[in-house]
Amino acid sequence: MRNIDIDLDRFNSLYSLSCVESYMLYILDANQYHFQHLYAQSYAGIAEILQYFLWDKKVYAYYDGVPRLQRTAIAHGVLAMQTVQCSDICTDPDYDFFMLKLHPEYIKKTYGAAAWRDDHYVLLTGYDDRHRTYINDSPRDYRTLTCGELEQAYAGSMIKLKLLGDLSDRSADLLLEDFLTRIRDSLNTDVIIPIEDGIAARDALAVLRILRRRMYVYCTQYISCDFMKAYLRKLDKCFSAIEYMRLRRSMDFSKLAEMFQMVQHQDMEILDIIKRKMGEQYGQNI
Amino acid sequence: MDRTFEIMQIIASVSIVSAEDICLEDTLASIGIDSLKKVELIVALEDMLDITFEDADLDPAKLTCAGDVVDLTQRYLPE
Repeated sequence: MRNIDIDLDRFNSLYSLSCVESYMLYILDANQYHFQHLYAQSYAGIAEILQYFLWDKKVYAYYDGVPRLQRTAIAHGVLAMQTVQCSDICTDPDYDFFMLKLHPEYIKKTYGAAAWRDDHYVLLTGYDDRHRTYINDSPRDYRTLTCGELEQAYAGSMIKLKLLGDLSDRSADLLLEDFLTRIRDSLNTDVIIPIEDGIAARDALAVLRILRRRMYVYCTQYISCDFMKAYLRKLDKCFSAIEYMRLRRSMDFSKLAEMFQMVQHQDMEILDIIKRKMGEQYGQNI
Repeated sequence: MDRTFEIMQIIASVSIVSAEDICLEDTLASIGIDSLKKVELIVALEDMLDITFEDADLDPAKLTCAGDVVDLTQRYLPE
């Protein structure tokens, strides 16, 4: 097992949809890997996202509208990852890093609230003979427990990760091609989807703001994306506004519909600019 | 009247640390307050201090550390 520095601020610029994605990005960033290319497959049209939550009634924790980043990383030879079920914590010398699934009761007792999903993992960052330190992505935290305490919190499943090497130029080119195809083919119509569920609306925005931040980070490698900043900030404000209405039990669905119409409109404008700029840069008709 | 400590206690109530351990410079994220919790904090401040924030003041980008929350809240409290 390799020790890894604890720097919780590192999470500020990593955009994940799950704890496993968070820790994988944390590890790649700490090892100076060019993980930004992995965001290439993270484009989903706004209509698809809205449909997923508002029509199909699926939930945030299991969003599968874009491939998980670890799948992309494995496919391009960046890392190897394996999930194992074992009753004791046993680090495998063939792997570098270990994520541990912890009991929901431990999470609730320690952090005062349940995790987004029952299978929540933490990342082991350091150890000595008697202690283990882990970091948690949400809420951000690190703790050092005795081996016995950690065994008690451990829920019998571990994800092992081994770094294989930074993304090759060939992979970066393939991912770029994939990104250009995705934005060209995505369903990007101004569909009207009735909004009757505040939580689904909030979760749709939660996913949208992560995916559009990924798009910002990804495209910034190729073109200037300053034009997206105001839109990204707008998404955060809308997300907070919906959550505020939900907590106040004052959900105003006509206001929500207006908000989503505005977001959809701006999202389509942003995509058009990205298509034009990337098309100019790479001479493709997208 | 400076009610910083009272505000810090409310911040602590939605964070994962105690009020004594929070510094004004601490980012909200570093004390376990993510974007959802930030809204919970706003609601808690309004309820416990009997104030109502203007929409324009609730830009998440403007509330990054504990000090930002204290400064904003102080502006709404009676002199």
